[in-house]
Parts: sequence; structure tokens; C-alpha cells
Amino acid sequence: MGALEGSLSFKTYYVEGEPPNDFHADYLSRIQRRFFQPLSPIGDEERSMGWVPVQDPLAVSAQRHDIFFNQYILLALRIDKWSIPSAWLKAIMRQALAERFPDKNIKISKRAKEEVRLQVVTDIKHKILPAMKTVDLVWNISERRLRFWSTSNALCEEFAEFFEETFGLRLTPDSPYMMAKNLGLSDADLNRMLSIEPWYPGLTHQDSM
Amino acid sequence: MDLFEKIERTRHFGELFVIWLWYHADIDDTMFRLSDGSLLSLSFDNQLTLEAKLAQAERTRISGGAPAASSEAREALRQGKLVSQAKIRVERDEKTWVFVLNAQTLTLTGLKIPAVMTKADDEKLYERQFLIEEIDALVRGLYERFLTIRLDAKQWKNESHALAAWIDEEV
Repeated sequence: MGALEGSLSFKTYYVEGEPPNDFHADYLSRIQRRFFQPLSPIGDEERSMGWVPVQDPLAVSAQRHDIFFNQYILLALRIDKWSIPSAWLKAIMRQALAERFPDKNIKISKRAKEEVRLQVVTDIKHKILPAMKTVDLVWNISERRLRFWSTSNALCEEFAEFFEETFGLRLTPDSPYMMAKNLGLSDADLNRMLSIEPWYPGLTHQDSM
Repeated sequence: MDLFEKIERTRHFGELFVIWLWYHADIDDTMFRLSDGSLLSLSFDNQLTLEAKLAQAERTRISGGAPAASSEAREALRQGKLVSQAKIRVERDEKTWVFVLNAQTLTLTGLKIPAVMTKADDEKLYERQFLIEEIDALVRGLYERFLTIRLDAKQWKNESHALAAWIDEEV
């Protein structure tokens, strides 16, 4: 959350590259291609990630009016993950194995145990919902700036990669250098920044440049 | 040099920028003039973290009261520590923003913006974004002023002498 309400802790990025002329149609179809796909209790996928509208994370598709607001693109990254408490899994496994193999003198093979585990996990997944997380982003197309409502380095890296896969545009996080570049500093000034050594307080006789 | 190297090599500009803000907030009684001539008030709030870079990594975290006005904070500067994070309050046109400025990235975290008045989702979006972009522009405006001084040898010579003298002052 964050774009419409809640806390305001985000990471700011510069979006490299020009949006195409008909960016509404192009970006909407790109978003649809990577729209969130729900996890199924049957199957191996433990995690699913994709785009959803901020106002309706349960939506199955996005409409133009859900995403585009004048110069802004408003989206949420939804991440679902199966999260089965290990204590529950252990207890139900023990019960299922006892039912399937009542004779305690027979050694249960690894393969048989794995088959039971898969059945137990599938049964549990049918009874629970996956853990869901959504993280908002607001992309100002005209300023080529984007805010992603997370400060977790791991999640931010994953997001930047997914964004690039979706839109074919690279994101560069904010920094003193990027801010200077974005302020329109000349190449000469940007090069001067690179040649200046750090100035440490408390140390006298430092070079002026 | 690729972009990644350029970004890493210039992170110290963010650290010096926050000290420069601290210095001017103190000597100019919190008032800053932007390049368009407008004024804003910037003060250091109740959290300040300084870290040593040259010697062993040491951290001084001062919270509560007015840490920027404390002798402990000024002493940390004299020991060569740099500000890594500072909670800052900006006031302009009867609006107030409070945030933590991260020196190495110049990102604002835990941002508190002036109250949003609208209720409808799209209006709320525009109003919140406007207030976020307004503080973002103010911080960028201050950074631009700092860069103008830091990148000019003559101006920086005077500024750095004044800054060093301020650091040496007893609080």
C-alpha cells in the first residue's frame, strides 16, 4: 500500500528510455502479459508475482482507467506465496503416514514418504489461502520518475528486474549522482563530481576541490 | 567508468550535503533560499545518525530532543563521522513535511506529508503525489544550491573554511 493511503516509505527510480507514442495501448498490453496469475493448490509453483490494479488486487485483468491517471501510471505488484506452518505440516504428515502404513514394523521408503507429503501439502493448500502481498508503484511518465513503496533491497531488486522484463525499460535508483544528472548538470560538472575526493569533517588542510 | 561506478564514487556528495544542510539550518536560523528566490524553513528533528568512515566503523545514534544542537553530535563530526541519516522537518506555505533523509542515496523514508483533504481515489492520488513531488522538488532544489557551491572551487574554498570553523565551535 502507499499510493493512495498508508505509510510513505518508498524507493525512487529514474526510468531510462522514451515511452512510445501510443504508450497507453502498448503498456496496457505489456501489463496484461505479466498480469498476476493466482497460485493453484495443484502444481509445483510455490510463489506467483504479477501486476494488479492498486484499487483491486483481486482483479483478473486491468482496464485502461484502472492504470492511467493523466501523467501517472498506478500499479501494484502482487506476490502470493504458499505458507504452510511447519508444525501443522509435521503433525498432519505423522497422522497420514500412520493411516497409510499402520504396521509400524515396516520401514517406509523415501519415495512413499514424499508421495504422502505431496498429497498432504495439496490437501492443505485446498483448505488455506496463500499469503498475499501487494506493493504499490506510481510512475510519472512525463518526469520519468517512479516510486515503489518498499525499501527492502531484495524486493526492490526483484521488482526492478520484473519491471524491465515487462516494459523493456531500465530503472536506476536515486543517488547523489543520478539526482545531479537529473537536475541537468552539464557533462563537465558531472565529470568534476567524479574527480572530487570526499571531504571529511574534522580533518584540516583538505584540498578545496 | 560505467554508471554503477559513477553512482558509487559520488555517494559522498550526499553525505556532505546533509552536513551542509545542518550547518546552514544552524547559522541561518533554519531559513533557506532556493534558486527561484523562494524561502523555506528546514530544521533537524529528533533523530540523527552519524557514522565513521575512515577508521573503524562506529555509529553514533542520537534521538529525542534536538540532537543536531547537542554537543555529542558536534563532537561526532569533529571525530570525522559523517551523517548517514537525519530526520528533517521542512515548512513552506503553511505546509509541513517530516522525513528521514538517507545521505548515501538521498532517498526520503518515513515521509509525513501535509493532510490530504480529498476523499475520491483519483483525487487522493493526485493530491498525495503532488505533495510528495513538492517535497522532492524542494530537496532537489537545495541539493542544486549545494552542488553550485561544491563544484565551484572559489565558492567551496570559502564555504569549506566556514564549515570547518562551525564544526570546531563548542556548542
